[in-house]
Amino acid sequence: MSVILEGKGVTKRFGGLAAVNNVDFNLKKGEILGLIGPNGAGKTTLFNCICGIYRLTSGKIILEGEDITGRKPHQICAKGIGRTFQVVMPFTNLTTLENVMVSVFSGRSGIKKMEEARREAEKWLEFVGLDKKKNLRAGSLTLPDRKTLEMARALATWPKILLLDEVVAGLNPTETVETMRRIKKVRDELGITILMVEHVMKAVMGVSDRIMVLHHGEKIADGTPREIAENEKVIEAYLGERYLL
Amino acid sequence: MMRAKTQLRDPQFLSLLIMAFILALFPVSRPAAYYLDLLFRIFMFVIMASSFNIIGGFAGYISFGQVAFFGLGAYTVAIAIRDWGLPVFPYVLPLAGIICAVIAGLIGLVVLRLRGAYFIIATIGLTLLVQTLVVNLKEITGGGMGISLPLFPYPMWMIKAIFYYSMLVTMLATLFVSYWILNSRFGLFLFSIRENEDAAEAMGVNTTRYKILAWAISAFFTGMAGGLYAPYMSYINAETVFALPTTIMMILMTVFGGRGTLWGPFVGALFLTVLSDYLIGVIMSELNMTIYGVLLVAVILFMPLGIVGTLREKIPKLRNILK
Repeated sequence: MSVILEGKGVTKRFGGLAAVNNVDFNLKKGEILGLIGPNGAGKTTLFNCICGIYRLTSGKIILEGEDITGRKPHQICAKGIGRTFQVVMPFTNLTTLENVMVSVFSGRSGIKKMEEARREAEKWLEFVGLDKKKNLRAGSLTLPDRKTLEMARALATWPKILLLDEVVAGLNPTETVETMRRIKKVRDELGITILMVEHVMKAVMGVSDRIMVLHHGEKIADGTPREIAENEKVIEAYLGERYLL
Repeated sequence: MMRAKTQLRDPQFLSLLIMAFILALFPVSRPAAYYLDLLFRIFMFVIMASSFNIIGGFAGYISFGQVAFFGLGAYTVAIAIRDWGLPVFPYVLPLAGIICAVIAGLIGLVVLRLRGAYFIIATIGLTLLVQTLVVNLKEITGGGMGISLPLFPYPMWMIKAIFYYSMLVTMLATLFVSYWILNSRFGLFLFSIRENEDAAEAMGVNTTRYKILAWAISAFFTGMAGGLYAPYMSYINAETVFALPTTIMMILMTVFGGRGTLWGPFVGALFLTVLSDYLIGVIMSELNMTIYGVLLVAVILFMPLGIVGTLREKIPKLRNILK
């Protein structure tokens, strides 16, 4: 599999604190890469570095051979990296459909007409299973629905890579399974490469092809779920005990 | 062709057309000059409130700098007429709008990086800065003396009618542009910026570009209103055309009528201008400002979405026309 996204020596300092320190990573086309680590390990910071929300202190981010370091978030999105937010950020006073339409217009679809955008947005709502709530205000949705909306909104930008920031957190077991199925569906049916931050071990171990572990801003392990579950460093830093697959 | 047809089926677009038609025919009934003057002032406030609505209601940036563009428009036209005579008026009027739009764009590059209260404070500063500049650049602006303009050599009623139509056309342009924004992807982008700018940016919306564009459009129409006000009054000075309370008026009218809606600023400007005229004319006492204030507080307390916003929430049938 070819590498689609690559990070070289990615570093982000806030004053004296290195939130992400000299991290090398790569994301292969079509894979689901899980990113785990204790709270404050730098997972979300790394996401924000990739998306252009933070300016890197040093290092490079390369998408399909092109250096995208220092680009603005909307430019990164236009290059084909979509994301969801850990703390959901719906456009509260717009309807669910309008939320997705914003992405259809701003993303890579090139759609300019209202009617066309509406149909395209409906398609994505159907894909994630929110089509029955398309005319509700996004602010009136439940948390699981808002999380689903985040995903629909990111998908509607036509990303090559989807960054998912804790999409399972706060969901009950049924909803978790549902979301995991959806993540697989995005990769299998749409061929979108996925990088996901997740704390729920069952979810991340279950869907990831490969897992990368951050601790104190540094990468301490990278491997298959099985390798990670048995890695002594990871057990000490994060898992606490051997995770039984 | 297709597009024109779908728009004619849109009740909101139709309501705009009907209003345009009625107001265009109104002077034919030869009303008293007072009514032409009243409507002139109402149109002016509709323009200013609707313009504020584009940046404040759609994009969520509460600009207190709007009156700066009104004043700049007024001074541009006043200076041109003073120096080159009345015949240049039709040409400098759109120029006044364009100058304001360019200035808004340039200042926006810096100021629109600020959010919330910081943006508000910066735009208040902008108003004071422009006002101070105008007072002190005596050679160009006449300083504290202001600028007196010649009157158009026509009968009074006809002058009123000419300005009535000029302001009406400008107001209709503002409203139709607002309508277009509301029904376009540009409008959707502005809403997304208002709702959550970081999310909008992450979804690929070039927030900087659209914010600046919104403010430039807003400044363009506000400047045009100022450009019509100057020759109509035939005298302007920095104190009146850059008065901060005028900005507050635009914002109040928008909030009162319903911000973020097409008809809100119109309803707010209409209602509050007529009310203030009535209170001053009929009650003639200190009491009028008190009544005015109490009414405003009541509406904002009990109808935070404004008149149009509340009607839309309460009566679903009206939703198509009030969206």
